[in-house]
Amino acid sequence: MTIDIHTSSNFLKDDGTKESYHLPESATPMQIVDALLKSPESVVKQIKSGQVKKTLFILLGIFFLCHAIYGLIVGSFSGNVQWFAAPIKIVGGAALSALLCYPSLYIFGCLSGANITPSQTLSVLFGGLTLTSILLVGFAPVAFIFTFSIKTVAFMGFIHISIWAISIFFGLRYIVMGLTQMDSRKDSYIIKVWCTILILTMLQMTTTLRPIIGVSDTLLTPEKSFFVEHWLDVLNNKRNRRKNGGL
Amino acid sequence: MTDYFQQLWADLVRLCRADPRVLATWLDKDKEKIQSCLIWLILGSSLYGTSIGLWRAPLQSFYVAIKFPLLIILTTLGNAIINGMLAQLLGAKISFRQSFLAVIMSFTLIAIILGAFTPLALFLLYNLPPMGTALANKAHALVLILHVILIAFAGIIGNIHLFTLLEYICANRLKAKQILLTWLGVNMFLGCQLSWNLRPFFGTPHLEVRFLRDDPFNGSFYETVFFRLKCLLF
Repeated sequence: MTIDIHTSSNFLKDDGTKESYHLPESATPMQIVDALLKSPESVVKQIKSGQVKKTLFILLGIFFLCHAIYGLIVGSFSGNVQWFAAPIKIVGGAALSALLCYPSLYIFGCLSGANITPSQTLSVLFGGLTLTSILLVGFAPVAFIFTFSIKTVAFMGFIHISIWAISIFFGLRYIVMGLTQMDSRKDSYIIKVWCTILILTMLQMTTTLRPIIGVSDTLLTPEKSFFVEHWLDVLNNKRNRRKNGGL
Repeated sequence: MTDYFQQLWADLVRLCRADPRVLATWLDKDKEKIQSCLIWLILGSSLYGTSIGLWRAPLQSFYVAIKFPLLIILTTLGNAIINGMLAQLLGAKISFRQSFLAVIMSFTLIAIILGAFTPLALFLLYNLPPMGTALANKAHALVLILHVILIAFAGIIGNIHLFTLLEYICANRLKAKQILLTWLGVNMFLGCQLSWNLRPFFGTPHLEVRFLRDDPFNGSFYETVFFRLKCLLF
């Protein structure tokens, strides 16, 4: 006997269209997480409908919590002071990067034709970064297994950057979709430029706030460096074992 | 009790037939079917695991019978959250438990195929020069190649069936392809590392038979590959 899934399965009870997912007006954080994963359009719809403050407040809460959880995993590689330094640096670095890129997102959004207010822009921006942080938490068990096995700081950094790259891809996809929902032109090159700027800012932030993975004598390294230059230094440094040097 | 075993056997048959319309309905009864899939997964992979280590030593065979299902289960559990998130993000309307079951179903199918190959693998092992003979190294290499071919074949079949199921659930070929590829990538990424941690499986002829190496968490699969490549190229 075969049963037709299209009439029996609970995951296809709705008609399958994107609009079918309904996010309640007073959505809980878990409902927002669920909506960001299953139907990101519904979160943008809520922002568009004027419930900016409440949605932004919840998004910020999830953003901070998820980044802090992933920060703990990152900090567990070196232990000691990094148990609390890494979560603080990751939460702070991500938030600071977002704030640095926020004005340009608003301007670029308007230039691409979006009918968007500054507060809606901030909500869309943090929606994307919150989705990134949720995915980072999803990857946490994987990162945790690698943390115990990897010996060199450079490789641990590579694993974290790879995980972050996958996560930020979906975060940026949300931001682009959010702006499109706000009447921005589809495939606008200017938004793609902004996405590149955000990625570069976040990568540079990892170098500015170093060490995040390894351990060093100071909590922050005063020496200025470009992230590519710093990564090459770490790769060439033979003393980049777990307890020496920092990335 | 008999009913339970009959049901278990019926599940095995349905899983092998891999009709997406039937398997999709399993996702609604996820709790019950996860249990059934896990039983077949453990049985199939344990059985095949015995043939992996048997050429090296009977004790190695016993160890691999434990480690092989463990490797599959740990990989699936480790990726359960991210697989669920990626499936939802890529447009599959399935819950975390349902995506976990879908992945477990494909691994179960692979384990069943491998389990069915066990007699053939044992027959080949019987015909190979044993440990301690002059041709032992050649035999070890042959064992490695044989298992890689068998696992790759079972993997391809399992993933084809997973793709058919995903295509049916998503009602979209492109979405199904994207989900399958991301799941494959994530599972391979963690699976390679876990297999490194849980080594030895085949048992190198000149090394002692052990459940795990002395320091299983010292080093990673990717670091080793990188440094070996570096030595070869530079």
